[in-house]
Amino acid sequence: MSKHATRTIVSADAKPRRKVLVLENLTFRDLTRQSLTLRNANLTICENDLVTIGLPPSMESRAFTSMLQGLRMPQDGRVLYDGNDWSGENYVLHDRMRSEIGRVFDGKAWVENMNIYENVVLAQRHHRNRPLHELDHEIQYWSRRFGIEPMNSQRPAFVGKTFLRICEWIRALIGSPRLLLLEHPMRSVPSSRFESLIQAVVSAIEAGAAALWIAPESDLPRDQFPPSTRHFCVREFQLSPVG
Amino acid sequence: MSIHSDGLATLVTLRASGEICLVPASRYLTPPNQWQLGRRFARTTELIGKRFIETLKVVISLLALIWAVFFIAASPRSWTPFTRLVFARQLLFTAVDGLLVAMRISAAVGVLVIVQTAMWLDAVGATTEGITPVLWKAVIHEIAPLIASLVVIGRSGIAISTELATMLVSGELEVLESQGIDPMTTLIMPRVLSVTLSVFCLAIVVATTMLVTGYMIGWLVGVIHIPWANFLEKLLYEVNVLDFVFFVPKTIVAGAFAGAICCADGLTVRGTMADIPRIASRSGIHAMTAVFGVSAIMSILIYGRILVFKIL
Repeated sequence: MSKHATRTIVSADAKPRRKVLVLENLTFRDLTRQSLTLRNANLTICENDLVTIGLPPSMESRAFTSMLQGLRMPQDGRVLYDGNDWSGENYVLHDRMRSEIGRVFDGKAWVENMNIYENVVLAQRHHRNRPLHELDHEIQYWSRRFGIEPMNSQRPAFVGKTFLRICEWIRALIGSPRLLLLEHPMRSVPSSRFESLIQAVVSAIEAGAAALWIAPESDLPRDQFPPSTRHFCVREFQLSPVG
Repeated sequence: MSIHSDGLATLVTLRASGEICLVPASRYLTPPNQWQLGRRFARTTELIGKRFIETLKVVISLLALIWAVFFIAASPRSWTPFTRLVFARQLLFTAVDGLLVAMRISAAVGVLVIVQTAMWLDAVGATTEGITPVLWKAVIHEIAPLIASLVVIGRSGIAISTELATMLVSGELEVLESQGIDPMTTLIMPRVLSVTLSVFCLAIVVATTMLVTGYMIGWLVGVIHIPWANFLEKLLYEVNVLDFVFFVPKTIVAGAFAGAICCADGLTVRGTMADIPRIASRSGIHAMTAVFGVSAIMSILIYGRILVFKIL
């Protein structure tokens, strides 16, 4: 077990932790692709929580994760983010809620006609109008921590997959997100970098975020996660606890 | 086929053996009775009505889109750094990069229109001094807005439609939305606005280029005999407020429709990358049709006539 796995995540026992993401009697399936399908699922993820969901091989999570962000509607039940659901027409609130979520995507993750740096700072500039020097400082911090070169002005199509994946991690982590949605986040990442990435998630959780890590069972390094992590897998369209 | 006096037709067919035989005509070849005619009429009117309602729905949704664009643009909150970046890039591509193309086309059209008009006036024995009112009206009312619109649709409209369709199919719009970035505010509004602004600015450039190059070539080949100062003075004499009342809204409305159609068509793509070229060409045709339609409707509304024909 790695050294960070032994760390205990700070849990505020004194006061009840805020529920960041709640799935209530959720039934979801996406007919267009081989997507993660759930029936009557219930799950609560509070701040300082790390939850993993192991998927059967070849099952995709993109549609499911988009549903968690209110971009798709479930067939039944509801998803609450910070106590608010995604129904209704308060689009300003929904956009603000989404801006607090950092996501590593399963599949396409970049706007191709913008360079990588523009892509990474896009949401921070758009929602909070954060100055570039402040963002640069934060990006440099994460770049050093993950051991990658500084971001250049190349477009995503001309950059290696590993570099892109790490940049995606940086985009998800900057701006102190309240929820991290990590879909198959270690894809294209060499195992030598696993530790630093998991450590980054642990740091975010310690800072008060919640994280949901979705990946195929075979790609889930369960032994490297902190002991307080809750693990689930999908069996017969139900979320079953593991371990 | 022969037709008998009782109205029944007989078909003459050639068998494989070479024998000719007569086959009684099918009952469908008999003239329809009144009930059938009535049904056909009802079906035709139903079809026309359906098409009309569909077209009306499209026009209303486009008007709603244009209204939403201007409503969103009026809010300072919408102009985030990303929106400003998209707007600036689109304006650069549509207006600035399109300037030379617009000038080339308008110079050619200007020469054709002015020289042809002068030659015809010469042929009917009229003085070439009479060319200025014809030119002013033709260029300002019809030709300049049309050329500017066509240049913008050809260069940028189809590109916008292709880009948005590609973003939708490849999941880039989902990437933006998942970061809380509204595509309407950040992608559609700046594009429609920049297309609108570009058509207006390019129409001014087109009109100026047409008049200047037309005069120069006409004077060089000897079909225009008056000096430039007189030509300009006569042009300015023709100017009236109604021309600007016509020119400004016409270019702005045509540009807004062209931009809105290209954006809306780009976002209607369903399926794969293979569907994108079809969507792009279709949006170009739709936008051009709309520009001609807007041009005709505004001519009727402001002058009560379309081209030389009195309507109202």
